[in-house]
Amino acid sequence: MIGDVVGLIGYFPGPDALRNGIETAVRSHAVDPVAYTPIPDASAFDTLRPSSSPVRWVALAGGLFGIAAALSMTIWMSWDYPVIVGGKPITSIPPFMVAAFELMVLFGSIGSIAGFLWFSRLPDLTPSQAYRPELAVDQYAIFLPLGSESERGRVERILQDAGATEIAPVLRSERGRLEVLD
Amino acid sequence: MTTNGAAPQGDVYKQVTEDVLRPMALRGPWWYGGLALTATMVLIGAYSEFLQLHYGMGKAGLMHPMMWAVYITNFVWWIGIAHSGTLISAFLYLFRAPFRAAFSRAAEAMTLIAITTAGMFPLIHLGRAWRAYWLLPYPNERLLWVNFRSPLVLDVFAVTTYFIVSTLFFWLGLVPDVAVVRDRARGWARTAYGLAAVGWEGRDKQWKHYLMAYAILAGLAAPLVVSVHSVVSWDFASALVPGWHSTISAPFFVAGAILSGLAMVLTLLIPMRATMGLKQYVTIDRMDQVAKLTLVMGLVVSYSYFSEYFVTWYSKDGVEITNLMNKVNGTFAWEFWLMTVCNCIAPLAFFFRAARRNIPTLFIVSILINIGMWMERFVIVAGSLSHDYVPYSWAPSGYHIKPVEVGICIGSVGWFGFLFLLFCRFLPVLPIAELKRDILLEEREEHAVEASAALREGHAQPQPEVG
Amino acid sequence: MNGERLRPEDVSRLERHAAAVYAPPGWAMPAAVVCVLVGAAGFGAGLAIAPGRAWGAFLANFLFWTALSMAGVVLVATFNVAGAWWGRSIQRITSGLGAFTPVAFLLLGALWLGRPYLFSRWNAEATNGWLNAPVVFLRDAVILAVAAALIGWTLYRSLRPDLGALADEGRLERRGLAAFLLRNWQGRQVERAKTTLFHRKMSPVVLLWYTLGYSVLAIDLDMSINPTFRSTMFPVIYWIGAFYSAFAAASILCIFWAKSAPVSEVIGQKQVRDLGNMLWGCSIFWAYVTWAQYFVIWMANLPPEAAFLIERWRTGWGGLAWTMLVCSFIAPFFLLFMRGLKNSRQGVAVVGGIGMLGVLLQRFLDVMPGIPNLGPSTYGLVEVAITVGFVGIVALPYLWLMRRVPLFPIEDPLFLRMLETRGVEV
Repeated sequence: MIGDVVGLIGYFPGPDALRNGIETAVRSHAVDPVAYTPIPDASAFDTLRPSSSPVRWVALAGGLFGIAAALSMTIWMSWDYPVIVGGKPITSIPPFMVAAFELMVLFGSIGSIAGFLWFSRLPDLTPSQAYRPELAVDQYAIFLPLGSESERGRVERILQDAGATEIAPVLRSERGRLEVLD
Repeated sequence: MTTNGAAPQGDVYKQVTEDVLRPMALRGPWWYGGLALTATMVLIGAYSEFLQLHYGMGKAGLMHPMMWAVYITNFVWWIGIAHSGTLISAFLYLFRAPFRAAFSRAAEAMTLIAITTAGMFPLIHLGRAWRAYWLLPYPNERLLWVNFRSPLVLDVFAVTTYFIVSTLFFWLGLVPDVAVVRDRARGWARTAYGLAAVGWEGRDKQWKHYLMAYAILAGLAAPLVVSVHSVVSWDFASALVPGWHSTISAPFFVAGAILSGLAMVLTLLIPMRATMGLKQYVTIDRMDQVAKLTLVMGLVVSYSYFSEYFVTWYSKDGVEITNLMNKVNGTFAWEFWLMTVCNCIAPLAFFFRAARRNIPTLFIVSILINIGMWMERFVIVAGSLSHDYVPYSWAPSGYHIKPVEVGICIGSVGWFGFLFLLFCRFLPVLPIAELKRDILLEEREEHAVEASAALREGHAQPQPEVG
Repeated sequence: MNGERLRPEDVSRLERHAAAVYAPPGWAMPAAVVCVLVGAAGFGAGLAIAPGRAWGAFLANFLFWTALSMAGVVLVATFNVAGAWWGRSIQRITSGLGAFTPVAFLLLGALWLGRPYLFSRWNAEATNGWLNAPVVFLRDAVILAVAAALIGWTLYRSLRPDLGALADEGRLERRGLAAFLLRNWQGRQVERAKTTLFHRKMSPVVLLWYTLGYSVLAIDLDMSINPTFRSTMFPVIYWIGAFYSAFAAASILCIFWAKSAPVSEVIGQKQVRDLGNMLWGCSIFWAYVTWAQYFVIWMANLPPEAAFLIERWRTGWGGLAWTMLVCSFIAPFFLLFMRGLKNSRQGVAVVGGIGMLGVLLQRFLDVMPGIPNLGPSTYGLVEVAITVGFVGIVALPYLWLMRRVPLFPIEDPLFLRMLETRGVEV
């Protein structure tokens, strides 16, 4: 029933400990560390992944698409069967700008959601190796994957140095699901 | 558990989670009673709508020139309530207001539910609701497209966008909390919540993209709400009808929307906090802050009323003046004065701290504002139409709201209440992750303040780094 | 995120540095005097060439700077009402501008002389008696007098604990303004409490008076220039313009003080970004109200209203109108998108300068095309000189006040809290 050890998970007593832990882990060149927290702590995440989130570029692209779509739609449809209404020109920029604004927001928002899902690799309905419900409530953890069993000692030391109060191996279970051995 | 005194106790977090999730297990008589009551109201509304569809629009009190009356009033009123939810949530997020967490989730849910309620009224108002798709950019049988120069068509864009973006905003805020619910649920509920949580695990990478997406969404939603109610206001203001055509109408409508939304938030949260054991999170201090905001909005709305009356008087425009007098002292006098008392006078109570911190007062004033805002929309929509340029088209003083219209109003309130009760039962009513984050921020701040105070008093110890 | 980690020692150092009176740069006072002289010369020349232009530029500047000076104090009231502490470090720097309001009261008297050139089209009959010259001026004089009194009172109440604290520590002599402000000093605790109470009670009054009084001012002296134009939005645009320019002024004044006072230390990176965000928000809100007025007028196309816009956008004034739009909205909006710029003091100040120019141009465009017998798009050195003169007139009382008082509200508990928690984030 017990398969390979795929990594180690270290638990930290609080957000500050986790933040210090992340800094130590990054300093000791830990490979692909993953932090689990129940609350967002932006400054800790910045240490782990310094580059800023590319989600905003997707949102920007969505917004620009929205503007282009709205303007081309309104202008084209107005000219497709040109009727002067209320003495306003066929290409009436002021009201078309309102439509452009609305679609900019619409596609900008869709873009930011799509960006979030894409870059976070979601939706992903199979739980990952190290996840367990407490991590969404009040526990903080860093998961370090193991390339081979020989790395185990080094990785364990990294977690110890980082201040983990409890370290547990993460195992691949029989059914292919990954579970934490308590 | 703590490293340097700045970290919150794990127990606090557990407690927050339990407290917020507890209402989801509650199924007291109040909940079933409320569900039964609101369902009955929905049935009344559905029956009224059936009568109107079956016999035609004559069943409603609509007649020339007042083709826009109760239904459009309801549309504007509900959409006003809908607007303020996301607006409150997004603006408070952008301003980093500490009291956001107490209100945001309920306000966002209110938005979504109110917008579905509002969305029904243009269809009800159409009479032939099955022709609604003519509003969409779709050529009719003469290959004519919709008229994009009309604010009514812009409204379709605005309201649709608003509905979608509000849904996304609501859902995105829910993701980390729904993940908690998922982890506890069993069976089909686990599948359903699991789908909603899209596999959220609170990994740092997820958080990082999440925070960026949420900030962008808040940044987009804030101007969006302002724009949507502005477009609604332009439905009126861009026409020449006296009482409608006013340049201030856009911010005035937005302020009215925020006022009615804040009032509705209070109306909903006061019973919620009492029945669901949330007094610890939705505290009197938080109520006080919302009351202050309500007061400010009441003043802005009063300012807008007054500036309209002033410019009418100042311009010496006969048509505008008779139109106004028809409201002040004519057919719509009692609605007008009810509106004035509820929207301009009642919020003034919040100048007093005691009133802001007294739950019954808060509740009564919030109800009064809800009524006042409905009256405001009615006075603007119906009152203005009833008295424009040509005496021939002045509405007869015998205009009456018909039972069918009342029934549909009742139905809409029931629909709103029904869905809101479902929300209370099936989703976390407060943002759990955000409450925890606020606790952490507060503790870190207190820690910094204490450290400085200790240093100032001269018994400085080497302190761990804060921040 | 904000790149600074303040330890308690840093905070107490900042507190010490903040608690002092700093002299403005030596060149400032002479420069202000030169500005005033340039303005006087420009105004004189204008009167000789085209009195309408001189008075028009005078009125536009009067409207702009009067609103700006009170808005500087209104920011403090707003921070107090909102309980916001991010802006505590910029509030004194900005509210010092309130010292101009008494001068504005005097300048209103000067406007009375320009009446024949500016307000000859006022028609009391057509406005239910509202635009009756003596009544208008009396009304506006009362508004400005009360505004000056409220500003004076607010400044007095907020300066008193700070000056007293310095005097108690022996770091300030009780003479001149300090002696005047510290009469009947009742000790630090009492004065602090009194100031807190004052802010709580009077901040809403200041805000209300400003909103109502300056709305009347906008109608009386600005909208009335175009006798057929009526817009309920007009005072709102004026109001938000003033708020916008007050934040812009704050960003510029931070740079002005940077060399001679520890402004860059006390006003941290986070506050600079907040200021940038505020400016950005103001420019968007300004654009929104301006657009909302435009859109309704464009849609309805009623001659009395549309004429106001056509005159400004479709005649020789059009170039200036577009410049105004670029400065108040387009440029700040896109510039502040850049994160690097929003994090830089200089960058934010440059955007503030552009925005301020935009709002000033809007006042200018309100007034100038409405002046009778003035050809289209006549503007040039006269107007520039008069504007420079106004900068001088606003700077003189500001510098006079600010060299005598601490640059930060050091006794304000929220200021301390702001410093202490500046490095904290989640």
